[in-house]
Amino acid sequence: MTRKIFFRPERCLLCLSCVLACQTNSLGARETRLIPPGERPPQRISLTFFRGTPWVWKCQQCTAPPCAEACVSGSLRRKNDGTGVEYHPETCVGCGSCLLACPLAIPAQDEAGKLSKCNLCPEEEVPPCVRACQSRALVYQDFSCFAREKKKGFLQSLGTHEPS
Amino acid sequence: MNQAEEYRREFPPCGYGLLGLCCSDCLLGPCRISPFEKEKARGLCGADAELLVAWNLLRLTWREGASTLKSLQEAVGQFRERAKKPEVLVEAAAGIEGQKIARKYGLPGKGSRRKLVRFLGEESAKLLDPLPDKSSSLFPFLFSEKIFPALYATTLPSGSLASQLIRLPGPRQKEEDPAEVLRRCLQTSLLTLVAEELEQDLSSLLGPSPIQADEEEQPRNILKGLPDSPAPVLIVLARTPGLFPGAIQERILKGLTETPPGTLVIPIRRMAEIGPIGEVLYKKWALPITDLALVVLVESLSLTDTLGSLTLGLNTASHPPLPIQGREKTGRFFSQGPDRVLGKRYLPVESETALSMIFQFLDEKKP
Repeated sequence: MTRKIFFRPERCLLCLSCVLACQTNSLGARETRLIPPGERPPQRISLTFFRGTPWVWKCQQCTAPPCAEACVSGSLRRKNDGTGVEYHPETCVGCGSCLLACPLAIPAQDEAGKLSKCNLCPEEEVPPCVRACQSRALVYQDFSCFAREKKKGFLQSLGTHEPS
Repeated sequence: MNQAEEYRREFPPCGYGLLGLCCSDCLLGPCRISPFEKEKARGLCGADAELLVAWNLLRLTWREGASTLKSLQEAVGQFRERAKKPEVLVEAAAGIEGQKIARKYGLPGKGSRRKLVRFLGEESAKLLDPLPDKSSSLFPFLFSEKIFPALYATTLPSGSLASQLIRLPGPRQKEEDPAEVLRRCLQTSLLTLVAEELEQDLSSLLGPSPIQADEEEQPRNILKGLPDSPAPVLIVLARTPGLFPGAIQERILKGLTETPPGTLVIPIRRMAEIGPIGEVLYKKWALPITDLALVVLVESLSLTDTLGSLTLGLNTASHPPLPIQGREKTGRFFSQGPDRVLGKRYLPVESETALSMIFQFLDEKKP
């Protein structure tokens, strides 16, 4: 089952717990009290406003990723199962082509020129940002399930029901 | 992974709150400061991260102190109601509990029953008085100077619990010194513990004793097994054993967690029990309890016990940890002690694996 992180802005409380959870996890700490002192986390997720609506700024794991196409060293590759884009820092040359190619300007580059972007935390059963979101604005689901739920919610708001 | 850890994994607590870096004290907020932001990050009122952490601790201390004050007030109300028929109270003071309390406050002997009733009434009034003329006289009986010299050298609280709670919030200005806020928290916590003990004593006279019989035997039992020379001591406090999921103290006391050989493990239910234990240890080893290789492990959902233990001058570990790790200065204030000369330590315990830090500390402090 191919799962991705989806965002429901109508549920977002702007608490920034997702950002902090991602930063904490990226430094190898289980919780904020265990963050190594003096460490700076990579930028993988941020929260912003877009025309008055909160929006989580993170890699959208495109099925046809422009960043992977633009990557000169092959360190950004589309996963075989189509679940997203994986990054291999060992082969990254820091050219910044991915930053130019991404239509959402998602990738962030640190001082060493290495990339940081959301990788869906494959080592975790559920990504920490999703687990930290108390209002369930972030969900980790299969695309078809998510689409079905959105459609159902929309029809309910219209006062109609999904045909059986 | 124990039950508590599983629950927290499923419903993680707020990361900002764990560090004490969020504040909802006024309508300008709520504010939060990221642990990764630079030193100059401020809340909307201008308070920096150090002050935010200190104010959070102050709010928790204040709430617990106020709750204890209310309980003491209710107990005193019942006490005064019974005092309308003085012979009833004097009769209660003659009982086993009354005699134990009289001994605790140095009032045995002829006429002790009436003295005890008068003493408890006066001390209650002192603690409840918002404009006290005199400070509480309970400290030498509960935490004597011989056993806790550090307390009398630096941090003995003055005034009443009521006056401390009124003074505690302070001016709440962005220029306020966080260390001064933390000092007020420590003093208020110790007065809260003293008020709690007095409320227990009043309740014992008015009704069935909340103190278990085996707790009374604790100091005598310890004396039986003490080595001739001072040994590392781990005092484990848990107010309600079994209530705390995955309790570390339960694992220690059942021997499921190994303690270093020669370490004396003493379970207690209230901080006030440390006084009599200190007396026993002093009789054997001729050292104040604050000079021993000793750590108090507090497993409690309230922070009064932890702060009270630090104020007494004892190395203290708390599980769960206090929300103070948000800023280095506040963490250092507790790790180096209210008075740096004493070198007392606060040791946060996130999980059982952090116990090794406590055992290592005890090993370092061994004479």
